[in-house]
Amino acid sequence: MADQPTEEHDTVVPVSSTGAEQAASPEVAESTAPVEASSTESPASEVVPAEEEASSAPQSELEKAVRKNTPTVVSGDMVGDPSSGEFHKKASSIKKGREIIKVEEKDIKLTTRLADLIVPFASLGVLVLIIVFVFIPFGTEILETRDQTRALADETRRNEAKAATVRSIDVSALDRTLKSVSQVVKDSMDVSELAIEVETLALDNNLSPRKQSVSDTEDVVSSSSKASNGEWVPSYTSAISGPFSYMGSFDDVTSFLNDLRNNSRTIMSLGAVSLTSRYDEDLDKEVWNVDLLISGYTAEPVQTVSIAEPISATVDETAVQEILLRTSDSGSTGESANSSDTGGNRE
Amino acid sequence: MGSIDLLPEIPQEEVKEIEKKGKLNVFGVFSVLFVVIASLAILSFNLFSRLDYNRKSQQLVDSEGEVRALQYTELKQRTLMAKVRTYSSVREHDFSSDVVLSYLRDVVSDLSSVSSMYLDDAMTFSVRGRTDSYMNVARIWHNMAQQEDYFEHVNLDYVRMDKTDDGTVVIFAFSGVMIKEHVDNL
Repeated sequence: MADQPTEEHDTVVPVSSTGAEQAASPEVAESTAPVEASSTESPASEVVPAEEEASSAPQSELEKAVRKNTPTVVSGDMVGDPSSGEFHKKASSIKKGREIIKVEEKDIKLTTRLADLIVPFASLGVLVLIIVFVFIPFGTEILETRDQTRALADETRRNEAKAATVRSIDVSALDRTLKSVSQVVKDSMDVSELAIEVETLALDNNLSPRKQSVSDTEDVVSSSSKASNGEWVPSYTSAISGPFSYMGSFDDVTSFLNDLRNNSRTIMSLGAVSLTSRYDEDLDKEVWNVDLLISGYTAEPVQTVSIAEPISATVDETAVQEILLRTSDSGSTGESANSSDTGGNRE
Repeated sequence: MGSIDLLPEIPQEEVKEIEKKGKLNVFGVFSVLFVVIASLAILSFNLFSRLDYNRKSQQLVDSEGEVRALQYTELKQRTLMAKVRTYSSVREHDFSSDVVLSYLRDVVSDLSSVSSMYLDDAMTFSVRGRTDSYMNVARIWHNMAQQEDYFEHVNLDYVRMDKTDDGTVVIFAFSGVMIKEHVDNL
């Protein structure tokens, strides 16, 4: 009804912004119906401000007037004296219509805005859920798998290096060296073996036995407490030890002590040594009684080995040479020279 | 007579809103695309990392089998190393007691006769003997104190004079600690 043109007017001015708004508000349509513009009206009837005069479209002028809430007469039926009652009535109607438009615009905008936000926010929520319950666990799992894979690769490399090290060992030379070394550092030793060996050395040095008592013990070798990481770790070595007592000349006693240390077939160490001299009237010479504590050490063969434990293909060359020399001196095996030649993996 | 405009003009605000909605739709499309691509990427990474892990596991099993096959040699090598280590440890801890006792006897017996000597693996020693005067005991003490390289400290534990049928005899006893690092050079 508002937009229905009449023959009397040149232009119909739409008051509301959209046709929908107009349809939604019949009052607005009613109130705007009389507001029509005519280019034939005299300039005296217009109360439009000077700046709006420049506007070419009459409907725009009316729209601006409505928006500014000013009693304005552009043209048409409202032509007349602004101080007249009809004029005020129409102006009040315009004002009322504009207020209704405002409220409805606000409602429509609010509804539209809320409707527009539901989908993005729902999408955002779904995205967050996907990230929290899918992406993050999967990502974490990937990182963990990568770490585990890296650890596996390291372990594999270590095993391969170890296998290469073991393969580089000359097995026949190792067997020969181990056989010779096992004569000096025995796998195990009976009490009688140590007693017989000490007795043999004493007799070789012209000493007479006085008493002996031997027992199995476990000894701490102090120097073996130096661990690779610098921490003090006591290393227990099986040993057989006991007090021995012999008598003879001072030279024979010192020679015996030297043989125990350097020329015995079994590795031995001396504890406390006590020497007491006395004059033997039967022999008519000074005789020394020697009381000493002797320990013979053993090392059992390694029975178990861990795959992760690293291994070295080299051994202490100096120590091996000393051991081989000792077995050579004892003349029991006669293969130390060969062992020395073939031990290619020593330090 | 002018023309009648039945279609209302679309205000700028509405135009902007429509444009904004279009942008939101593009954003939505890209969001979905992002989710799809990210999902595919993560699944692919997961799959490849699992495959890599399985491959490395198999390699580890193979390498362990290889090491196990060489275990007999390894046990022998470790036994040799253990024995050599035991030997070295004992030798490092040990010292030439015969040399040290001979040295002690030489130092003391110039001016006296040694009746007993004691030496333990901590290098603690004691020497007992007899001589004919206190002066000789003092000289012996002085001689030992002069050997700073070998004696960490020397104490005169006791000294006493006894009268016998042959005359007087001075009995003495020294004790102290020797320096292990240096007596090896004796």
